[in-house]
Amino acid sequence: MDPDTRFRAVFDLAYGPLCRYARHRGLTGPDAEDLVAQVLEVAWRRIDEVPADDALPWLYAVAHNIWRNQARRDRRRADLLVRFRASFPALAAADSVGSFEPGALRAALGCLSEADQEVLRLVAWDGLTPAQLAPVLGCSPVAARTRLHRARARLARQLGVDQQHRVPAGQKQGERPDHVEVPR
Amino acid sequence: MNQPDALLAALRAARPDPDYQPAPDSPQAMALLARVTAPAHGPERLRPSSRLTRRVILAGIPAVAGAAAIGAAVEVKSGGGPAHLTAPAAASVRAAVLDAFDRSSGDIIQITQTGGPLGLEAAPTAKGSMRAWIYPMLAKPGQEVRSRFVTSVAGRTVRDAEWDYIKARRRGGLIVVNYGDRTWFRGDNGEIVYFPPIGATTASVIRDNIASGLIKVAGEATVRGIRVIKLTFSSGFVSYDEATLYVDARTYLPVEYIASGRGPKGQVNQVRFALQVLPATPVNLARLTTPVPAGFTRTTKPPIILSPWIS
Repeated sequence: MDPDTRFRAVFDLAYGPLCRYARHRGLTGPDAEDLVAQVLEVAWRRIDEVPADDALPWLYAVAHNIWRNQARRDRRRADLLVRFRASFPALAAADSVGSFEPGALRAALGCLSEADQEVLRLVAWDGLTPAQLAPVLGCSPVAARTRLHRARARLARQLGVDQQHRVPAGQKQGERPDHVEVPR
Repeated sequence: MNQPDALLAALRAARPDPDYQPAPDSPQAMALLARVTAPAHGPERLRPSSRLTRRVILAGIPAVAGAAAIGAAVEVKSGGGPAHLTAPAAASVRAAVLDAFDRSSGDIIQITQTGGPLGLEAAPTAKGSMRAWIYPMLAKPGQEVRSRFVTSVAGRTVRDAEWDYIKARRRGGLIVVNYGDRTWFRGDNGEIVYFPPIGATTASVIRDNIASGLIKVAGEATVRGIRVIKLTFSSGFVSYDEATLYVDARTYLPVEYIASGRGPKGQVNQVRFALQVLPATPVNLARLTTPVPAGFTRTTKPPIILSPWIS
Protein backbone atom coordinates (compact mmCIF):
# COMPACT_ATOMS: atom_id res chain seq x y z
CA MET A 1 0.00 0.00 0.00
CA ASP A 2 1.46 3.37 -0.96
CA PRO A 3 1.90 6.03 1.76
CA ASP A 4 -0.93 8.25 0.55
CA THR A 5 -3.44 5.42 0.59
CA ARG A 6 -2.17 4.34 3.98
CA PHE A 7 -2.60 7.82 5.38
CA ARG A 8 -6.12 8.04 4.05
CA ALA A 9 -6.91 4.75 5.79
CA VAL A 10 -5.38 6.06 9.01
CA PHE A 11 -7.40 9.25 8.67
CA ASP A 12 -10.66 7.37 8.22
CA LEU A 13 -9.86 5.18 11.20
CA ALA A 14 -8.64 7.88 13.52
CA TYR A 15 -10.64 11.01 12.80
CA GLY A 16 -13.61 10.08 14.99
CA PRO A 17 -11.60 8.66 17.91
CA LEU A 18 -9.26 11.66 17.92
CA CYS A 19 -12.17 14.11 17.89
CA ARG A 20 -13.63 12.25 20.85
CA TYR A 21 -10.21 12.21 22.55
CA ALA A 22 -10.16 16.00 22.29
CA ARG A 23 -13.75 16.27 23.50
CA HIS A 24 -12.99 14.05 26.47
CA ARG A 25 -10.29 16.48 27.50
CA GLY A 26 -12.57 19.47 27.39
CA LEU A 27 -11.45 20.77 24.01
CA THR A 28 -14.04 22.05 21.59
CA GLY A 29 -14.15 24.05 18.37
CA PRO A 30 -10.83 25.33 17.05
CA ASP A 31 -8.90 23.97 20.04
CA ALA A 32 -10.15 20.45 19.32
CA GLU A 33 -9.54 20.83 15.62
CA ASP A 34 -6.00 22.03 16.26
CA LEU A 35 -5.19 19.01 18.40
CA VAL A 36 -6.63 16.56 15.88
CA ALA A 37 -4.85 18.31 13.03
CA GLN A 38 -1.52 18.28 14.86
CA VAL A 39 -1.78 14.56 15.56
CA LEU A 40 -2.69 13.79 11.96
CA GLU A 41 0.08 16.03 10.67
CA VAL A 42 2.55 13.95 12.64
CA ALA A 43 1.02 10.80 11.20
CA TRP A 44 1.17 12.30 7.72
CA ARG A 45 4.86 13.14 8.08
CA ARG A 46 5.74 9.86 9.74
CA ILE A 47 3.31 7.51 8.05
CA ASP A 48 5.99 4.85 7.73
CA GLU A 49 6.22 4.66 11.54
CA VAL A 50 2.49 4.31 12.19
CA PRO A 51 1.82 0.67 13.12
CA ALA A 52 -0.14 -1.00 10.36
CA ASP A 53 -1.99 -3.42 12.61
CA ASP A 54 -3.09 -1.10 15.40
CA ALA A 55 -2.59 2.58 14.69
CA LEU A 56 -4.76 4.07 17.40
CA PRO A 57 -2.45 3.63 20.40
CA TRP A 58 0.38 5.23 18.41
CA LEU A 59 -1.87 8.17 17.53
CA TYR A 60 -3.13 8.46 21.10
CA ALA A 61 0.47 8.59 22.27
CA VAL A 62 1.10 11.53 19.94
CA ALA A 63 -2.11 13.21 21.07
CA HIS A 64 -1.23 12.57 24.70
CA ASN A 65 2.17 14.24 24.29
CA ILE A 66 0.86 17.22 22.38
CA TRP A 67 -1.96 17.83 24.82
CA ARG A 68 0.24 17.38 27.86
CA ASN A 69 2.95 19.69 26.55
CA GLN A 70 0.52 22.40 25.58
CA ALA A 71 -1.19 22.25 28.92
CA ARG A 72 2.06 22.29 30.83
CA ARG A 73 3.41 25.25 28.95
CA ASP A 74 0.60 27.72 29.09
CA ARG A 75 -1.52 26.76 32.08
CA ARG A 76 -4.44 26.07 29.84
CA ARG A 77 -5.13 22.90 31.72
CA ALA A 78 -6.50 24.78 34.68
CA ASP A 79 -8.79 26.79 32.45
CA LEU A 80 -9.84 23.71 30.55
CA LEU A 81 -10.62 21.89 33.73
CA VAL A 82 -12.85 24.73 34.84
CA ARG A 83 -14.55 24.79 31.44
CA PHE A 84 -14.74 21.03 31.41
CA ARG A 85 -16.40 20.86 34.79
CA ALA A 86 -18.76 23.66 33.90
CA SER A 87 -19.64 22.02 30.59
CA PHE A 88 -20.84 18.79 32.07
CA PRO A 89 -22.89 19.43 35.17
CA ALA A 90 -24.11 16.59 37.28
CA LEU A 91 -26.85 14.61 35.65
CA ALA A 92 -30.12 13.61 37.18
CA ALA A 93 -30.23 10.51 39.33
CA ALA A 94 -32.27 8.77 36.64
CA ASP A 95 -29.19 8.80 34.43
CA SER A 96 -27.04 7.08 36.97
CA VAL A 97 -25.40 3.75 36.37
CA GLY A 98 -25.68 1.56 39.39
CA SER A 99 -25.02 3.72 42.37
CA PHE A 100 -22.60 6.03 40.55
CA GLU A 101 -23.91 9.31 39.27
CA PRO A 102 -22.06 10.55 36.19
CA GLY A 103 -21.59 13.94 37.78
CA ALA A 104 -20.13 12.45 40.91
CA LEU A 105 -17.89 10.18 38.86
CA ARG A 106 -16.56 13.04 36.78
CA ALA A 107 -16.06 15.15 39.87
CA ALA A 108 -14.20 12.33 41.58
CA LEU A 109 -12.11 11.81 38.47
CA GLY A 110 -11.24 15.51 38.47
CA CYS A 111 -9.91 15.20 42.02
CA LEU A 112 -7.27 12.65 41.02
CA SER A 113 -3.77 13.47 39.82
CA GLU A 114 -3.50 14.34 36.17
CA ALA A 115 -1.65 11.09 35.51
CA ASP A 116 -4.38 9.01 37.12
CA GLN A 117 -7.08 10.92 35.27
CA GLU A 118 -5.37 10.31 31.96
CA VAL A 119 -4.99 6.57 32.54
CA LEU A 120 -8.68 6.26 33.42
CA ARG A 121 -9.84 8.48 30.57
CA LEU A 122 -7.80 6.48 28.06
CA VAL A 123 -9.35 3.21 29.16
CA ALA A 124 -12.88 4.21 30.16
CA TRP A 125 -13.56 7.02 27.73
CA ASP A 126 -11.27 6.39 24.78
CA GLY A 127 -11.73 2.63 24.87
CA LEU A 128 -8.13 1.45 25.04
CA THR A 129 -7.34 -1.94 26.45
CA PRO A 130 -4.65 -2.20 29.11
CA ALA A 131 -2.33 -3.63 26.44
CA GLN A 132 -2.97 -0.64 24.19
CA LEU A 133 -2.36 1.67 27.12
CA ALA A 134 1.34 0.80 27.34
CA PRO A 135 2.58 2.53 24.18
CA VAL A 136 0.52 5.61 24.97
CA LEU A 137 2.06 5.95 28.41
CA GLY A 138 5.47 4.90 27.19
CA CYS A 139 5.83 2.02 29.61
CA SER A 140 5.63 -1.78 29.65
CA PRO A 141 2.24 -3.55 29.54
CA VAL A 142 2.78 -4.73 33.10
CA ALA A 143 3.48 -1.20 34.29
CA ALA A 144 0.47 0.07 32.39
CA ARG A 145 -1.78 -2.46 34.13
CA THR A 146 -0.35 -1.48 37.47
CA ARG A 147 -0.94 2.19 36.82
CA LEU A 148 -4.50 1.47 35.75
CA HIS A 149 -5.12 -0.64 38.81
CA ARG A 150 -3.80 2.05 41.14
CA ALA A 151 -5.68 4.83 39.40
CA ARG A 152 -8.87 2.83 39.62
CA ALA A 153 -8.30 2.21 43.31
CA ARG A 154 -7.75 5.90 43.95
CA LEU A 155 -10.93 6.72 42.04
CA ALA A 156 -12.82 4.23 44.17
CA ARG A 157 -11.41 5.81 47.32
CA GLN A 158 -12.34 9.24 46.04
CA LEU A 159 -15.89 8.01 45.63
CA GLY A 160 -15.89 6.61 49.11
CA VAL A 161 -16.14 2.99 48.03
CA ASP A 162 -13.67 0.17 48.32
CA GLN A 163 -12.75 -2.42 45.74
CA GLN A 164 -15.43 -4.86 46.85
CA HIS A 165 -18.37 -2.67 47.76
CA ARG A 166 -19.64 -0.02 45.46
CA VAL A 167 -21.81 1.80 47.96
CA PRO A 168 -20.19 3.13 51.11
CA ALA A 169 -21.62 2.22 54.44
CA GLY A 170 -24.39 4.51 55.57
CA GLN A 171 -25.14 5.74 52.08
CA LYS A 172 -28.20 4.76 50.09
CA GLN A 173 -27.96 3.83 46.46
CA GLY A 174 -28.01 6.88 44.22
CA GLU A 175 -26.91 9.18 46.99
CA ARG A 176 -23.87 11.31 46.35
CA PRO A 177 -20.85 10.81 48.57
CA ASP A 178 -20.68 13.85 50.80
CA HIS A 179 -17.06 14.61 50.28
CA VAL A 180 -17.19 14.69 46.50
CA GLU A 181 -17.65 18.15 45.13
CA VAL A 182 -20.08 17.85 42.27
CA PRO A 183 -19.73 20.56 39.65
CA ARG A 184 -22.74 22.76 39.13
CA MET B 1 -9.15 -6.12 36.36
CA ASN B 2 -9.80 -8.72 33.68
CA GLN B 3 -13.34 -9.24 34.95
CA PRO B 4 -16.04 -6.83 33.87
CA ASP B 5 -15.40 -3.83 36.06
CA ALA B 6 -18.46 -1.99 37.33
CA LEU B 7 -16.53 1.11 38.27
CA LEU B 8 -14.85 1.47 34.88
CA ALA B 9 -18.14 0.66 33.17
CA ALA B 10 -19.86 3.39 35.15
CA LEU B 11 -17.02 5.77 34.37
CA ARG B 12 -17.36 4.94 30.70
CA ALA B 13 -21.08 5.66 30.88
CA ALA B 14 -20.21 9.00 32.48
CA ARG B 15 -18.03 10.13 29.58
CA PRO B 16 -19.04 13.48 28.19
CA ASP B 17 -21.17 13.56 25.10
CA PRO B 18 -21.39 9.77 24.52
CA ASP B 19 -23.36 10.22 21.30
CA TYR B 20 -20.65 12.33 19.70
CA GLN B 21 -19.66 10.45 16.52
CA PRO B 22 -17.72 12.69 14.15
CA ALA B 23 -17.67 11.20 10.66
CA PRO B 24 -14.46 11.05 8.64
CA ASP B 25 -16.34 12.03 5.48
CA SER B 26 -18.02 15.09 6.97
CA PRO B 27 -17.23 18.54 5.53
CA GLN B 28 -15.32 19.37 8.71
CA ALA B 29 -13.22 16.24 8.32
CA MET B 30 -12.57 16.99 4.67
CA ALA B 31 -11.45 20.51 5.49
CA LEU B 32 -9.16 19.14 8.16
CA LEU B 33 -7.78 16.55 5.75
CA ALA B 34 -7.02 19.30 3.26
CA ARG B 35 -5.30 21.28 6.02
CA VAL B 36 -3.23 18.34 7.20
CA THR B 37 -2.12 17.30 3.76
CA ALA B 38 -1.30 20.83 2.63
CA PRO B 39 2.13 20.96 0.99
CA ALA B 40 3.68 22.86 3.91
CA HIS B 41 2.94 19.91 6.20
CA GLY B 42 3.79 17.14 3.83
CA PRO B 43 6.81 14.88 3.93
CA GLU B 44 9.83 16.08 2.00
CA ARG B 45 9.45 13.23 -0.43
CA LEU B 46 6.14 14.67 -1.57
CA ARG B 47 7.05 18.28 -1.97
CA PRO B 48 8.31 18.28 -5.57
CA SER B 49 4.88 17.21 -6.74
CA SER B 50 2.83 18.17 -3.73
CA ARG B 51 -0.06 19.64 -5.67
CA LEU B 52 -0.38 16.47 -7.70
CA THR B 53 0.00 14.38 -4.57
CA ARG B 54 -2.82 16.25 -2.86
CA ARG B 55 -5.05 15.57 -5.83
CA VAL B 56 -4.25 11.89 -5.62
CA ILE B 57 -5.00 11.85 -1.92
CA LEU B 58 -8.21 13.74 -2.39
CA ALA B 59 -9.36 11.66 -5.34
CA GLY B 60 -12.78 10.29 -4.73
CA ILE B 61 -13.74 13.19 -2.49
CA PRO B 62 -15.87 15.33 -4.72
CA ALA B 63 -16.39 17.92 -2.02
CA VAL B 64 -12.71 18.79 -1.94
CA ALA B 65 -11.01 19.79 -5.13
CA GLY B 66 -8.10 22.03 -5.89
CA ALA B 67 -8.31 25.70 -6.71
CA ALA B 68 -7.84 25.04 -10.40
CA ALA B 69 -11.13 23.22 -10.54
CA ILE B 70 -13.07 26.22 -9.33
CA GLY B 71 -13.44 27.90 -12.67
CA ALA B 72 -15.22 24.91 -14.09
CA ALA B 73 -17.18 23.99 -11.02
CA VAL B 74 -18.55 27.33 -9.91
CA GLU B 75 -21.34 29.01 -11.76
CA VAL B 76 -21.41 32.60 -10.65
CA LYS B 77 -23.82 34.93 -12.34
CA SER B 78 -22.23 38.00 -13.74
CA GLY B 79 -23.74 41.26 -12.61
CA GLY B 80 -24.35 40.21 -9.00
CA GLY B 81 -27.39 38.39 -7.73
CA PRO B 82 -27.43 35.01 -6.09
CA ALA B 83 -25.45 32.39 -7.90
CA HIS B 84 -26.71 28.92 -8.69
CA LEU B 85 -24.14 26.66 -7.20
CA THR B 86 -23.98 23.01 -6.58
CA ALA B 87 -22.93 21.82 -3.13
CA PRO B 88 -19.62 20.46 -4.44
CA ALA B 89 -18.90 23.84 -5.98
CA ALA B 90 -19.38 25.54 -2.62
CA ALA B 91 -17.18 22.91 -1.03
CA SER B 92 -14.59 23.49 -3.72
CA VAL B 93 -14.57 27.19 -3.00
CA ARG B 94 -14.15 26.40 0.66
CA ALA B 95 -11.22 24.12 -0.08
CA ALA B 96 -9.63 26.73 -2.32
CA VAL B 97 -10.01 29.45 0.31
CA LEU B 98 -8.55 27.21 3.00
CA ASP B 99 -5.70 26.39 0.67
CA ALA B 100 -5.09 30.10 0.06
CA PHE B 101 -5.14 30.80 3.80
CA ASP B 102 -2.66 28.03 4.44
CA ARG B 103 -0.36 29.13 1.64
CA SER B 104 -0.35 32.67 3.07
CA SER B 105 -0.24 31.66 6.72
CA GLY B 106 3.32 33.01 7.02
CA ASP B 107 2.51 36.40 5.50
CA ILE B 108 1.35 39.58 7.20
CA ILE B 109 -2.34 40.34 7.35
CA GLN B 110 -3.40 43.95 7.45
CA ILE B 111 -6.81 44.52 9.00
CA THR B 112 -8.73 47.75 8.95
CA GLN B 113 -11.62 47.44 11.34
CA THR B 114 -14.63 49.72 11.51
CA GLY B 115 -17.84 49.29 13.45
CA GLY B 116 -18.66 48.43 17.01
CA PRO B 117 -17.18 45.67 19.11
CA LEU B 118 -19.34 42.65 19.74
CA GLY B 119 -19.96 40.99 23.02
CA LEU B 120 -18.04 43.54 25.02
CA GLU B 121 -19.48 45.55 27.83
CA ALA B 122 -17.79 48.71 26.65
CA ALA B 123 -19.75 50.99 24.40
CA PRO B 124 -18.11 51.65 21.06
CA THR B 125 -16.56 54.98 20.41
CA ALA B 126 -18.40 56.68 17.59
CA LYS B 127 -16.53 56.98 14.33
CA GLY B 128 -13.74 54.75 15.57
CA SER B 129 -11.52 52.56 13.47
CA MET B 130 -8.50 50.40 13.97
CA ARG B 131 -5.75 49.27 11.68
CA ALA B 132 -3.84 46.18 12.68
CA TRP B 133 -1.01 44.13 11.31
CA ILE B 134 -0.51 40.55 12.43
CA TYR B 135 2.55 38.47 11.54
CA PRO B 136 2.35 35.64 10.79
CA MET B 137 -1.25 35.67 9.67
CA LEU B 138 -1.99 32.23 11.09
CA ALA B 139 0.48 31.24 13.76
CA LYS B 140 0.80 27.80 15.20
CA PRO B 141 0.87 27.20 18.95
CA GLY B 142 4.32 28.05 20.25
CA GLN B 143 5.15 30.34 17.35
CA GLU B 144 6.10 33.96 18.00
CA VAL B 145 3.54 36.47 16.79
CA ARG B 146 4.14 40.16 16.18
CA SER B 147 1.18 42.48 16.07
CA ARG B 148 0.41 46.17 16.08
CA PHE B 149 -2.89 47.96 16.55
CA VAL B 150 -3.44 51.61 15.76
CA THR B 151 -6.75 52.99 17.03
CA SER B 152 -8.18 56.17 15.60
CA VAL B 153 -11.20 58.25 16.49
CA ALA B 154 -12.53 60.83 14.07
CA GLY B 155 -9.41 60.40 11.96
CA ARG B 156 -6.94 61.05 14.79
CA THR B 157 -4.70 58.40 16.26
CA VAL B 158 -5.52 57.87 19.92
CA ARG B 159 -3.49 54.77 20.64
CA ASP B 160 -0.72 52.78 19.00
CA ALA B 161 0.05 49.42 20.57
CA GLU B 162 2.56 46.73 19.68
CA TRP B 163 2.16 43.30 21.17
CA ASP B 164 4.60 40.48 20.58
CA TYR B 165 3.63 37.17 22.08
CA ILE B 166 3.82 33.42 21.79
CA LYS B 167 0.77 31.87 20.20
CA ALA B 168 -1.49 30.10 22.70
CA ARG B 169 0.41 31.47 25.68
CA ARG B 170 -1.16 34.88 25.48
CA ARG B 171 1.57 36.61 27.44
CA GLY B 172 4.13 38.78 25.85
CA GLY B 173 5.85 42.13 25.59
CA LEU B 174 3.69 45.15 25.00
CA ILE B 175 4.26 48.77 24.06
CA VAL B 176 1.33 51.15 24.26
CA VAL B 177 1.57 54.75 23.14
CA ASN B 178 -1.33 56.94 24.26
CA TYR B 179 -1.65 60.03 22.17
CA GLY B 180 -4.32 61.53 24.44
CA ASP B 181 -2.04 62.15 27.42
CA ARG B 182 1.25 61.80 25.46
CA THR B 183 2.47 58.85 27.51
CA TRP B 184 3.84 55.46 26.65
CA PHE B 185 4.07 52.21 28.53
CA ARG B 186 6.22 49.13 28.12
CA GLY B 187 5.40 45.97 30.01
CA ASP B 188 3.65 42.66 29.99
CA ASN B 189 0.14 42.33 28.75
CA GLY B 190 -0.74 40.37 31.87
CA GLU B 191 -0.87 43.74 33.63
CA ILE B 192 -3.65 44.92 31.35
CA VAL B 193 -7.30 44.28 31.86
CA TYR B 194 -8.18 43.36 28.31
CA PHE B 195 -5.99 42.67 25.33
CA PRO B 196 -5.85 42.02 22.43
CA PRO B 197 -8.59 43.68 20.44
CA ILE B 198 -10.82 41.54 18.32
CA GLY B 199 -8.71 42.03 15.20
CA ALA B 200 -5.93 39.86 16.54
CA THR B 201 -8.02 36.77 16.08
CA THR B 202 -9.77 37.76 12.88
CA ALA B 203 -7.81 35.58 10.47
CA SER B 204 -8.12 32.48 12.61
CA VAL B 205 -11.81 33.13 13.27
CA ILE B 206 -12.45 33.45 9.56
CA ARG B 207 -10.49 30.32 8.84
CA ASP B 208 -12.37 28.38 11.51
CA ASN B 209 -15.66 29.55 10.08
CA ILE B 210 -14.65 28.40 6.62
CA ALA B 211 -13.39 25.08 7.93
CA SER B 212 -16.71 24.55 9.70
CA GLY B 213 -18.22 23.81 6.29
CA LEU B 214 -21.19 26.06 6.91
CA ILE B 215 -20.43 28.61 4.24
CA LYS B 216 -22.61 29.30 1.25
CA VAL B 217 -21.45 30.87 -1.98
CA ALA B 218 -23.75 33.81 -2.58
CA GLY B 219 -22.49 35.26 -5.84
CA GLU B 220 -19.90 37.71 -6.95
CA ALA B 221 -19.29 41.37 -6.34
CA THR B 222 -16.65 44.03 -6.53
CA VAL B 223 -15.01 45.32 -3.37
CA ARG B 224 -12.48 48.15 -3.57
CA GLY B 225 -12.08 47.42 -7.26
CA ILE B 226 -11.37 43.73 -6.71
CA ARG B 227 -13.60 41.06 -8.21
CA VAL B 228 -14.66 38.92 -5.31
CA ILE B 229 -16.71 35.87 -4.46
CA LYS B 230 -19.24 36.45 -1.72
CA LEU B 231 -19.48 33.80 0.98
CA THR B 232 -22.04 33.83 3.76
CA PHE B 233 -22.13 32.00 7.06
CA SER B 234 -25.70 31.38 8.01
CA SER B 235 -25.40 29.72 11.37
CA GLY B 236 -23.17 27.79 13.66
CA PHE B 237 -20.02 29.73 13.02
CA VAL B 238 -17.66 31.17 15.55
CA SER B 239 -18.13 34.47 17.35
CA TYR B 240 -20.93 36.16 15.44
CA ASP B 241 -24.57 35.67 14.53
CA GLU B 242 -24.10 36.46 10.86
CA ALA B 243 -21.06 36.98 8.72
CA THR B 244 -20.11 37.62 5.12
CA LEU B 245 -16.70 37.05 3.65
CA TYR B 246 -15.51 38.36 0.31
CA VAL B 247 -12.56 36.55 -1.20
CA ASP B 248 -10.55 37.57 -4.22
CA ALA B 249 -11.95 35.61 -7.16
CA ARG B 250 -8.44 35.14 -8.53
CA THR B 251 -6.36 34.32 -5.46
CA TYR B 252 -9.08 33.23 -2.99
CA LEU B 253 -7.46 35.40 -0.32
CA PRO B 254 -9.76 37.38 1.99
CA VAL B 255 -10.66 40.91 0.98
CA GLU B 256 -13.41 41.88 3.40
CA TYR B 257 -15.23 40.33 6.33
CA ILE B 258 -18.43 41.72 7.77
CA ALA B 259 -19.88 40.27 10.94
CA SER B 260 -22.87 41.21 13.02
CA GLY B 261 -24.19 40.10 16.33
CA ARG B 262 -26.08 41.26 19.35
CA GLY B 263 -24.34 43.18 22.09
CA PRO B 264 -24.89 42.73 25.80
CA LYS B 265 -27.98 44.96 25.73
CA GLY B 266 -29.47 43.27 22.70
CA GLN B 267 -28.41 45.91 20.24
CA VAL B 268 -27.23 44.75 16.84
CA ASN B 269 -23.63 45.64 16.17
CA GLN B 270 -21.81 45.25 12.92
CA VAL B 271 -18.09 45.15 12.50
CA ARG B 272 -16.30 45.34 9.16
CA PHE B 273 -12.78 44.19 8.48
CA ALA B 274 -11.01 45.22 5.30
CA LEU B 275 -8.31 42.60 4.82
CA GLN B 276 -5.12 42.57 2.84
CA VAL B 277 -2.40 39.95 2.84
CA LEU B 278 1.06 41.46 2.61
CA PRO B 279 4.31 39.59 1.92
CA ALA B 280 6.77 39.60 4.79
CA THR B 281 9.22 42.03 3.20
CA PRO B 282 11.43 44.33 5.34
CA VAL B 283 9.24 47.30 4.45
CA ASN B 284 6.06 45.51 5.47
CA LEU B 285 7.63 44.07 8.62
CA ALA B 286 8.50 47.60 9.67
CA ARG B 287 4.76 48.28 9.94
CA LEU B 288 4.73 46.00 12.98
CA THR B 289 6.81 48.40 15.07
CA THR B 290 5.13 51.04 17.22
CA PRO B 291 7.23 54.21 17.28
CA VAL B 292 7.41 56.25 20.46
CA PRO B 293 7.23 59.91 19.47
CA ALA B 294 9.80 62.28 20.90
CA GLY B 295 8.61 64.18 23.92
CA PHE B 296 6.22 61.50 25.16
CA THR B 297 6.58 60.52 28.82
CA ARG B 298 7.09 56.97 29.87
CA THR B 299 4.64 55.79 32.49
CA THR B 300 4.87 52.78 34.75
CA LYS B 301 1.15 52.71 35.35
CA PRO B 302 -0.33 49.94 33.20
CA PRO B 303 -2.97 51.25 30.86
CA ILE B 304 -6.45 49.89 31.33
CA ILE B 305 -7.72 48.87 27.94
CA LEU B 306 -11.24 47.56 27.84
CA SER B 307 -11.30 47.50 24.08
CA PRO B 308 -9.47 49.29 21.29
CA TRP B 309 -12.41 51.65 21.12
CA ILE B 310 -11.95 53.18 24.54
CA SER B 311 -9.48 56.01 24.66
